[in-house]
Amino acid sequence: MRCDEVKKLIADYSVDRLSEKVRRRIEDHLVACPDCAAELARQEKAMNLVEQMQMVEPPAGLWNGVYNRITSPQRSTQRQNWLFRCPRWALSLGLCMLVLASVVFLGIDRAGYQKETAVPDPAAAEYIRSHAAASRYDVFADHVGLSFVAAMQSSDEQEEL
Amino acid sequence: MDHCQKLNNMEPGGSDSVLQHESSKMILPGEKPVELVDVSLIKRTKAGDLCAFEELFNHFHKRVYNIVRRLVCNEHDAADLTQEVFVKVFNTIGCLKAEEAFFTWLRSVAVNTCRDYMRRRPPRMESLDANLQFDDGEMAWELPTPDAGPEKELLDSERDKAVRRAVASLSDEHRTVVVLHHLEGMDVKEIAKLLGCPVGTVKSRLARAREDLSRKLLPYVM
Repeated sequence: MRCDEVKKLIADYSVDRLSEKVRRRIEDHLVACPDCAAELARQEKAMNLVEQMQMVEPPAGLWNGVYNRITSPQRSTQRQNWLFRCPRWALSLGLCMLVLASVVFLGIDRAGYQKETAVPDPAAAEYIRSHAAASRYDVFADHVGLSFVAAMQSSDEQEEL
Repeated sequence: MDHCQKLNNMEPGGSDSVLQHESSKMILPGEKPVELVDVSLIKRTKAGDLCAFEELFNHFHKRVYNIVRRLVCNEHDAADLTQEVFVKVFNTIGCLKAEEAFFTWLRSVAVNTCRDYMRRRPPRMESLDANLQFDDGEMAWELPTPDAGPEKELLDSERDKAVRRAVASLSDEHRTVVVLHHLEGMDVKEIAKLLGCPVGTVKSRLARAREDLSRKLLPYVM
């Protein structure tokens, strides 16, 4: 192997990332080539320097911060965590019940809506219209209610047309 | 320690003598903080004993802070994240079954917290020629010169700063494997398991990081 090839592979060699065959060829080259051996030694020395990095002292008051964060939000944390403490089967069952209730509720509501918007009986419509006309000058008549019913009736008729 | 004493008074089994006895068993001499811990402290923490948790914190917080600081390369964020790690540990320690593997679990919480943070923060746009902003102020890449001072401590300090800058200049992925392998002493299989990636990927990142670091630290390794 040439020196440039070996130097490219020295880092992989030092972390044992090469095949047995390539590793032996590099070892043979390193024995014969002091320049490449020096390159390997430089890498090893650099990593030794990294390993000798001194530990630094942590700032004072770290425990107080931890203590405050553990003790003050304890209640809210417990409240948040109750969901995660429930067994999964209970959560699944609850979710299924919720979906079922939603489907039933929407079904009933839709049926009621369809019933409300059904085509009205023409006789009943005529009765409402005449009643509204008759009660125009009646002070005790529910004018707002009658007007609303009459308006609904007329909009239905327009839709039919 | 006031709150600690209050809690001890509240709990019938708690006493200062018990705490001193357990802590004396726990702390062993050595350059780096030891990874062994009294299992009873973990059991008491699981039961909600804040005094026991404070003992655990005192034993491990320097180690955790240094892991976090080396991963995120920012002093202020490192302090916040260290606190976040211990809050997470206290809230989830009930899930820890193998109590003797507490430190391994604690370290994985720290690493994952840092990885979440590094994913959230905007990517750094830096080049080798640009001045880099670090904890000790804005500094350009410096070469050791004879004028640096005759004192060995000063040279060591300069070299240590240069090494920190070189490690900080690595990409997040490369720096993570370097810190875990070369500073935490984890083997590549452990790292691959922790990071959720193949062993080959970890080795590849280590190899590229070695090349990068040896290039950046060339004046110190000649």
